[in-house]
Amino acid sequence: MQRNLLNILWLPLLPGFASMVYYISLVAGLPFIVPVLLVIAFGYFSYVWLGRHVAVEEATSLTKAHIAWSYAILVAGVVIMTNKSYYIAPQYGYWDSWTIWNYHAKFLQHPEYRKYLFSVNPEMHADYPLYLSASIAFLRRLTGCDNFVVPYALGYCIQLLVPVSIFLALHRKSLPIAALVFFLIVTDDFYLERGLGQYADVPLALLFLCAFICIEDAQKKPGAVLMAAAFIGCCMWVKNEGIMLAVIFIAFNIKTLFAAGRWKYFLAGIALPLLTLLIFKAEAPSNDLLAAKGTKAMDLLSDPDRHQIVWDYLAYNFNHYYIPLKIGLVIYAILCIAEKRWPARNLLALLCCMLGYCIVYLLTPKSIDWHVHTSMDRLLMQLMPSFMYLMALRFSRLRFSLGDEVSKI
Amino acid sequence: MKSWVVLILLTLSAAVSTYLYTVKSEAPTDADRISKALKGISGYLSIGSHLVFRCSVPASDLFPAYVSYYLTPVKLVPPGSSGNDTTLMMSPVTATDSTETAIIAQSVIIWQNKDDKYRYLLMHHR
Repeated sequence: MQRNLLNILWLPLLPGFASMVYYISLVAGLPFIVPVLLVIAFGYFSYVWLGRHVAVEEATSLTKAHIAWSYAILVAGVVIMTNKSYYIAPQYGYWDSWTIWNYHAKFLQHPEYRKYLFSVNPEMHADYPLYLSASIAFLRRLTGCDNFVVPYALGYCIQLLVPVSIFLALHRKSLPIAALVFFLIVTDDFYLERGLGQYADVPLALLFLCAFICIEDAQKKPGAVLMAAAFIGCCMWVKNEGIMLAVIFIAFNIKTLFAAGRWKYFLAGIALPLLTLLIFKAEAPSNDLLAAKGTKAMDLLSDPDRHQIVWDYLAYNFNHYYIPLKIGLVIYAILCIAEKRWPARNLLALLCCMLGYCIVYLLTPKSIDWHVHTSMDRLLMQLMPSFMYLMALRFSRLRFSLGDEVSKI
Repeated sequence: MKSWVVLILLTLSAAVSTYLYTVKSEAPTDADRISKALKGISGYLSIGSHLVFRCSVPASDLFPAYVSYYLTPVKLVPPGSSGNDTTLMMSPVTATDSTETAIIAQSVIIWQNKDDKYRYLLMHHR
């Protein structure tokens, strides 16, 4: 992994680590200075360790024109996003910002308030993990800014890192494909609005994407397994559905993660997120969706009307908000059929995640129409960057293979 | 591409965007109004207490969320909940409601405030 990409992937680990040690310090009743010092130490040592164990030397194979174009594209995209974001951003975020993420952060800003987090109203979702809320609380205490600037700045950085990570991961393989995906994301108002709405979906999308980027390097650098494990651990610490994503990710990459002694790196990466999640879950109420299932599951799963509702909303979302993703998937499917090959393993993992979401909708104890209507667009956002990255990875290889064919002719 | 160039670019972008967000002028929202109006109430509420929230403002579903947020960690409960004798009432300044008038008559007002649109009453039931 190139150093510039590694630096970008290192950034989302910082709020992840900060939120975990901050939450544990609250539970343990430690003074605020303890997590602050731990975060500083983590920042330094993880940067140095990753530089030694994951980074590779800068290859000199790129032409000056390629590098110049890469800079130009990156600067143009970042300027577009900087210019668009502040006026697209809702002033104080959307519904979930008030009722979940920033609200939970308020409980975590004051050590004496934390225990009341679990007695708030059920619709305030006290069972939701705390990557975002604890990060906001930590940063608010650190900066002394008890306002909405902190969640905005954090949300902006996270949504900026998604396209930049994809671009840096792909530009060496195919600059046109990397640029296309990069501009598709930075000019997507729906993505920007969701990213700046102070929801947890784009943070989850970034962390899941980072796990997929890291797993590409896992065979060459075992340190990348540690990073991938840390990222899926952070996914679990962002939202409850992150647990499902993590399980599917592990199931589809089990050999890469555990073979040849790499399991030690996996354990090292996932240990802290898992421990923090277990401490949190021991205190938190049970999930409302899981708690409400029971014996009617088969009836709900076999109801054709429910399948129709889920399918209709899925089609609606793909046709309105995720058109590039839909086109990409169609091209990808055509390529697979033409080449008589299965889709990439991790693309199948993403399809499984989507199927998992659909099953959760089918089993929901709430009104399925309301549930799908209010959340499916955001759930697809969690998977969209990973889909775009994995498809682009495939398309960038296609370009080279076509080039080889042409050169052979 | 140099790592430090990318990092400086992203840092600049985040700083500029955050600055533009902070100076963006928007009309005060209901959240701003509630935040300002409830500033003096915290001294009358104990940490973690339960408060009946009675809101006769139909404008936004998020009003209870705004109030919960600014009064954290006070828990808001709906009218009619048993065992809660303190109520925060929020109503338009221009309207009078007979139910509210009756509730006010049966209560001791602990704290009150109003702005250009709403009035806020913290009451203890007699």
